[in-house]
Amino acid sequence: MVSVTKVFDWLDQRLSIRTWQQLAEKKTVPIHRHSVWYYLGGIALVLLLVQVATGGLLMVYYIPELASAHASILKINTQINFGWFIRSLHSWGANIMILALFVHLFSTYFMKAYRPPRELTWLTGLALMVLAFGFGFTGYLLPWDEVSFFATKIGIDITSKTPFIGEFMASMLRGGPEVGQATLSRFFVIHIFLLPLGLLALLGVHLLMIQLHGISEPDAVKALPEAQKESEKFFPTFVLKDLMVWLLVLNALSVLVGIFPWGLGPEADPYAPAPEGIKPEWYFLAMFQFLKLMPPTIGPLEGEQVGMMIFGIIGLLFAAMPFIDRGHNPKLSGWARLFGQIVLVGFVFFTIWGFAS
Amino acid sequence: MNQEAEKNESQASCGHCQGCGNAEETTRRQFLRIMLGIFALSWGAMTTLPIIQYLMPAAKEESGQEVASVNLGKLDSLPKGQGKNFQFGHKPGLIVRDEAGELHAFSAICTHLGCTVQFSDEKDLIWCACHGGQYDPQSGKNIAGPPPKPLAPLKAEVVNGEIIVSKLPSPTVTGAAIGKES
Repeated sequence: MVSVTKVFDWLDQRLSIRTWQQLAEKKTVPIHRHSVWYYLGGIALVLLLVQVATGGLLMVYYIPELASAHASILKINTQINFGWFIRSLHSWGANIMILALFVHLFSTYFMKAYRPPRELTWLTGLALMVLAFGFGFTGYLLPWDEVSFFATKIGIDITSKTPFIGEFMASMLRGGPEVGQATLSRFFVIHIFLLPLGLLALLGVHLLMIQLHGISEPDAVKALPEAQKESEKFFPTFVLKDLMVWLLVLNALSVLVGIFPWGLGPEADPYAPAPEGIKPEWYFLAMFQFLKLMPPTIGPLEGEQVGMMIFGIIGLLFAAMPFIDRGHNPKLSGWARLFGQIVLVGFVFFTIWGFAS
Repeated sequence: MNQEAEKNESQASCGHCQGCGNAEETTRRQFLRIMLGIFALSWGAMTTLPIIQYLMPAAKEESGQEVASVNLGKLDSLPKGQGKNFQFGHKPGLIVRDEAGELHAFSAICTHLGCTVQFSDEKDLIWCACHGGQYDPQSGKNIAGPPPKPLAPLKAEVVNGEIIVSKLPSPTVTGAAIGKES
């Protein structure tokens, strides 16, 4: 019988496992009072894995066809063994993943982890956030229920107001004169093929950058003398702790899904009026509420266009932050923190207002 | 031998520099680099163009299901002070019968962000559930909320006791067309 060591040696000769292991053991994770935020990226990652697994399972029964889409989700929810569980995991998991991404984004922002040499880690992270919104927007339509139908109409209409390319982009997304079969097919392809492709590439770069640059330390920790700095080994210490956190997250998700299974609204009727109290998913709620405040026109522009421009500028400032606040100028650093605080407070405020109104 | 002869000939025919060498090498390299760029760009464009064309909605689909008019049934089915949504081709429409019995029909697409509007008999106005836009039920004029323009009017008339909604003859006509009870 071949011993385990022999198999390991055989693999090691071909894959240099020991070198990787040594690298992983050499890598350390800083310990300080903000260390808890280091778990957020991992939490988002495990929730992403849940999305991939449950998404694949849903595709077995889901039919991306106008007359069957809603019925197929209804079937998953009511007739397929554990169908409700898999679908609820997918819907709840998506929402919690986006929440984890928000916390991850803002915690790395306030820890100034975007500063050189981590610009690309920050930019790929932001791009991944945009992809997550894309996943949310396209996936929302697939059950073809009343609310998702109008949410898509609004989303595409907002897209069409982008200067120069808006109409083209809207037409490409819609695939026809109205939101219908062509739209459903396109959203399905974007959701299960195009976005995952982009995700693989961006996530690959994001994780590679983290390996290259190591874990970022906040300024206060960086300033400490080496002797006072604390750290732990990435492998096995941090990895095992990470696994425990993943287990906790998965358990919490299962409990949540068990208590509050994800529902399904009535099937979309393209000729019926929009239902009362219609609102987008919570992560678009702040934007939705903000846009509601816009007057019909501001100067030569429509209110929406001005609102979208404000969101665009905020996004651009976030993307440009590693090049603005490079860590040399305490004044700029203060401004960067204030900007982040204003955006965060504004986001929370408008989200709560959107829920309440 | 042959190649060398050719090389000598090409050098001899070049009257711009003496001794040749680096200067020409650089230009040749630059030229090739530019050509490579042009080649890559045109190859990219040639590949992208069919994909974009493929993804563009077919023209037939764009104009599909165009209708000139629809029959909404007996006039009695729509009581005074009520409104109802209906399908007009591939777009939603809305008809309102006011207290005086006059009919007003519009495209039900909100001019704000394209949601489908409805008639509220309680408030006696047309409103949109998405962002709270409001329109006057007789003229279709935007009166409150974010909509920037009035609703597009349709022509409503009563023929042999049945409601017929049709497109307005000219797109320049503004205001709601009114069909009197006959």
